[in-house]
Amino acid sequence: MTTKLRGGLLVLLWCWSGPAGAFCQAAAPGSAATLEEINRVLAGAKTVFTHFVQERHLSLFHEPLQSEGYLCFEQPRRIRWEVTEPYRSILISDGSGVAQFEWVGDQWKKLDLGLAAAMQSVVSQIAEVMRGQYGRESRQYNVALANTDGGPVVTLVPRNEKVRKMIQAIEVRLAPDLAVTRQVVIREKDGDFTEIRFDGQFVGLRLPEGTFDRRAPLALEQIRQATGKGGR
Amino acid sequence: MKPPAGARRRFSKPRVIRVLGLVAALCAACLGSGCDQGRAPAYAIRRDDGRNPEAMAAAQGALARLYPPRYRATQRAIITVGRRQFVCDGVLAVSPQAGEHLAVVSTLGLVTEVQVATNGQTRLLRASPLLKETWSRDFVARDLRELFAPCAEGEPGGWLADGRLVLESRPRPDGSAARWVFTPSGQRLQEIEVVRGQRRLYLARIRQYRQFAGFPRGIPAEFDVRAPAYRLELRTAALTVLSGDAPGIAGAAPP
Repeated sequence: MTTKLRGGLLVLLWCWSGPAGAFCQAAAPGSAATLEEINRVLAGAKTVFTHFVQERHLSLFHEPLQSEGYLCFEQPRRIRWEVTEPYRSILISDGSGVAQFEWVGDQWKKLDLGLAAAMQSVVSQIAEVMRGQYGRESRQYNVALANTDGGPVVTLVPRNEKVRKMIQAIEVRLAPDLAVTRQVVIREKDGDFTEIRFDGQFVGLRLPEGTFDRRAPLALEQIRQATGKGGR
Repeated sequence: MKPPAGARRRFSKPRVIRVLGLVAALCAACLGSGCDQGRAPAYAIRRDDGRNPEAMAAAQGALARLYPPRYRATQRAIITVGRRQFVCDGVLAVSPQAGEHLAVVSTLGLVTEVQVATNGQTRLLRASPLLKETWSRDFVARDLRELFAPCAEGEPGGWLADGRLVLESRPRPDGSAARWVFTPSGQRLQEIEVVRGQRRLYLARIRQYRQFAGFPRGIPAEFDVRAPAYRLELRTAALTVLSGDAPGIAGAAPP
């Protein structure tokens, strides 16, 4: 697999992060959302702190592979994806590089992450998406918007045929008022799909120093205390 | 006779330094990925002299009952290749009918899906561009087989110098054999070694046992595997013991 293709895949798989991107300004109720409006609202989200539940549905298994944790995002391109159950793991980008930490033997272990440069390149693109720059990402995928009773659904379909063989589409489901992202579904081949549900989203909080520190990230508990959002 | 004009340059100081640097880098890479363990000589075993048949019997019983007959587990793995590390999740379903069925997924999606049937046959159920099929067959299936499908017919092998007890498998078709290293009492499995002759091919150390609901004994829950091409640090993050009629695998019939 080429680096370009791998990067494309990463972008696609990470697009759910964009969403997480909840929004700081709600849209007018009752009106059909447009991509431009979504982009505008997304761009206003300076920070996002949200709990998530992720389920990977594999066609040959009855039960999904489930995990949960917290996502932190800060403009322009700082991202922290922390899994808390059933294991503990942190992936951080501070905008200039990425780092991965795993909880092993009762302590955090920083990994010598493979594909780090590609990951950083990808995270930069993700940040663009989180800022509502769907249009600029059009080289990567086709974007479609459907307004449903449950709220708008943005569907991203990879343009690259090789990528599309692995990822058929990404669906981002937003609340009707665009205030929060409710769900992201990544549809893969062979009937596999990953569903990410967001709850307890907070937009515009001041995230403490160290939240995105690639050398020694602040503990999640301290972030919760600093933001006053100790529970879900 | 005078050496040719270019001979001295071949062994010039910068070139030697570069070569030494390359060798050092390769050694460091090997050390980092576990090559030191993979190429270490196999454990020297003193053949069983019948000194403690109870311990041997206990080890055989422990090996046969290492895992529940039916269960589903979520795993987290760190794979080190050279100096680079990668993480992925595993979902493992085990049943007496289908054997061991493992799906490996990463941030990029499904990496591979393999099955070791009850007759020991390995089947690659699904492949992806993320991992070469040969790696799935050679490494992922081997890890699955050695760690989660231990032979129930371990035979008394002997004792290590430190007093630990060893069970052995019969020689396999490829000439290798597995060894299971237990505590001296035979109560607890500590290591799994695969050897060919006097050469070690594979070593898995069990770092931790964990108790999971529905099973009376602790289950190996953390492995540190050293193999020539890679190092695998594997944790079982969650495990559900399944009842006899609970579905675990949807479409994977034994080959």
